[in-house]
Amino acid sequence: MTSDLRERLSLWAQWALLVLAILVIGYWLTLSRPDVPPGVIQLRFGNFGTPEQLAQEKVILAEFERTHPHIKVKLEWVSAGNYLLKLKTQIAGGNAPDVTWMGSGVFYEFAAKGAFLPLETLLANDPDLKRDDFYPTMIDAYTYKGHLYGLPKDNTGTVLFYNIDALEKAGAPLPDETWTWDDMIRWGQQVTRDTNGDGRIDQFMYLPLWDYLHFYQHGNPVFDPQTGRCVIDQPSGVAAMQFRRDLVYKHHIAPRPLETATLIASGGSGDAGMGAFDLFPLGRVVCLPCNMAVVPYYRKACKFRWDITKVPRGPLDVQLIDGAAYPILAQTKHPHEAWELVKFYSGPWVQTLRAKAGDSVPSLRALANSPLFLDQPPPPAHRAFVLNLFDRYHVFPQHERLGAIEQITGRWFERILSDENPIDVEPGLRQAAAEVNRLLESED
Amino acid sequence: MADAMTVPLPGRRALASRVLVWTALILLASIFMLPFLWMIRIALSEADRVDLGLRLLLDWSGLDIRNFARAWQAQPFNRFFLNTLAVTLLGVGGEVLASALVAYGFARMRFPGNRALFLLMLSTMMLPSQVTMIPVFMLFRKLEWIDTFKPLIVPSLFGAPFSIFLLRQFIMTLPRDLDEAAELDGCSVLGTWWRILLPLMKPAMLTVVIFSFIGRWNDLLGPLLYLNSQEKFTLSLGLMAFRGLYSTAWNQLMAASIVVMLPCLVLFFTAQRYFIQGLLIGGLKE
Repeated sequence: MTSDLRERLSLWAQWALLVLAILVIGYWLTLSRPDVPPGVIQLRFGNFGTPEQLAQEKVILAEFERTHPHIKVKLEWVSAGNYLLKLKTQIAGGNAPDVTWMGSGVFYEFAAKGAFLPLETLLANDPDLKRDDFYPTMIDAYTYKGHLYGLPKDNTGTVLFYNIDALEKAGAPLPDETWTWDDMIRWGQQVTRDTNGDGRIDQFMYLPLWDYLHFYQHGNPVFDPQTGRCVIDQPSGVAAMQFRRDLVYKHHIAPRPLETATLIASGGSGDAGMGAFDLFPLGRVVCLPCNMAVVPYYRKACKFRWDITKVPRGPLDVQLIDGAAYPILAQTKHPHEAWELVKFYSGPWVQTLRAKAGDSVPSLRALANSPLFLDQPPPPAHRAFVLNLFDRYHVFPQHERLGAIEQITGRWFERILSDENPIDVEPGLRQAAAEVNRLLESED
Repeated sequence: MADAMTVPLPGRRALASRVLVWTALILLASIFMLPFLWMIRIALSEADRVDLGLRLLLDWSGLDIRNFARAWQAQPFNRFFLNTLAVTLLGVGGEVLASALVAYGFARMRFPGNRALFLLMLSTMMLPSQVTMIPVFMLFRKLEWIDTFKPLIVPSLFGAPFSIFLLRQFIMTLPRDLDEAAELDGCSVLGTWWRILLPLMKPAMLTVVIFSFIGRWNDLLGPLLYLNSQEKFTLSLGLMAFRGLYSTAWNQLMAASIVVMLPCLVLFFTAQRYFIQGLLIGGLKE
């Protein structure tokens, strides 16, 4: 063999070895290990949360698999911030899980695109669960164009968290269900102050987080129920936004945007969205409207006495409620097994677990009204009023394009509430409504 | 008159200038180091501490070093580490070799459409990943590659536009005489690439290795979209799990982030000379 031929062979051999090594390692890494015995259905279940929540989820699924030996559940767990991005890609790419988490706020967006399986027949034919077992308002929240697409898995309301120690120190009474915004303003001016003498206010009475609430409390829905158009620029909407602005610039009980950013930057997580919830345990805000889901976090983080009550009443007594459901994705190949999983999560075993956790109201009315939920060690001490929220109020607003609409209105609200060069309320709302309606018209 | 054996002392002006430059550099470095210092301080803070603002840097009491162990044990980070290492090393290896080969073709082969193809390849860098996200996902779904490492490794075997560009520019600085001499000695085209040019391309290839390693090590979008089973997760997905809907375990997140960051830091400091050399390559004229 000539040396030239030997060299060529050597070069090709080196190449072949390299490619082979990559293929072998790659193949080994990508080997799918069959972990489902024959005759067993595997469901894919998309969900999100922290490592602690994952641990609880595994306990629940272990019990489900024990009681349903013919079904195995593969949990696809991601972080909260990335969940919707992954789900949307999976649905668009034709690889959606069988069951997934869905909040009431974004529910319509997915239901309108046919992502979910209608459940009313499955529920009607189910021997164990009945429609009346749940709060009608929460069943409505997951009903789109006459079809039920989700069973409530927990209900949460927006309640007012208040700092008992700070209020007592300032000589203010504790808020209760009779409070109106006049009470909040009156006592707020006593509570809002500079506590460390540096010339800057570092304790505010209230931090407004849900601007839409004020529209509904002034009798101005975001969308006209007949036409579906955005109507936040009506006179009552203008009054609502003006009231919102007055909380900051007239009554001085809520921080300005720059002050909010400063309060967050001087403590808390530094992220405007999530940092706002930290202002309560930090003691920068004495009253905070927040979802009950933060109860476990506040139990650990708050070093003062606190409790909850209703958000103050406006001209109309309207409160915010929401929750989550586990809908079945329309792409599922196992609808009946998926229904068993959804039913399990909304059924007594899981709901009892949720009741004991105290971070949400059980979706089953019977359990919600039981000592399991009501008689838990404080904080919070007051819980019974939360159940009434689900009897009286509805989830709002809900819209197929809510995410995009909230981005538009959020931008305009920011300009209206801005520290520097703010835009007036009426022209601001008019432009916001016009932009939203242009978006809605472009979809029609 | 200066003696050949003595070194003249710097003049007063030169000394003052040097002091000024060093002061400015130290100040700038401190500003750049501040976020990292803040990160370390949060990583060492107590578990239930909520007050994590910049003022924390003035208070170094109550440090809790167990956060590092707690964070690492909160999830199967050992598994995540192995997964990330495998995906990164295979991806980097594939990208470097494939890009070097493609760059050789663009730099040395004379054929109609060479420049047009090169520009077409470069233009793919203009496409934001959000545009191609769903079609690519659908492609991988059809291939049944979802929930495997294949989507994270196989595309690298076709090269990456930026790496190809960088290596092409470098190859064009190498004299063609080397190729001609190799050809005269009977070396094939592939042999010239493998034996002659590849060894000379080490600085540029190291730059590609650094960029590619850091990009793949920290990649979140790819693993998020293509991996469903927790046992296949990478470190970036593990880190994101510390962020809840209403609260974040910041001390554990920062502690885990510091550990995850270490390999990239070690790589960069080891190869920084080649990194800076490699960055300059792109500026050379053809």
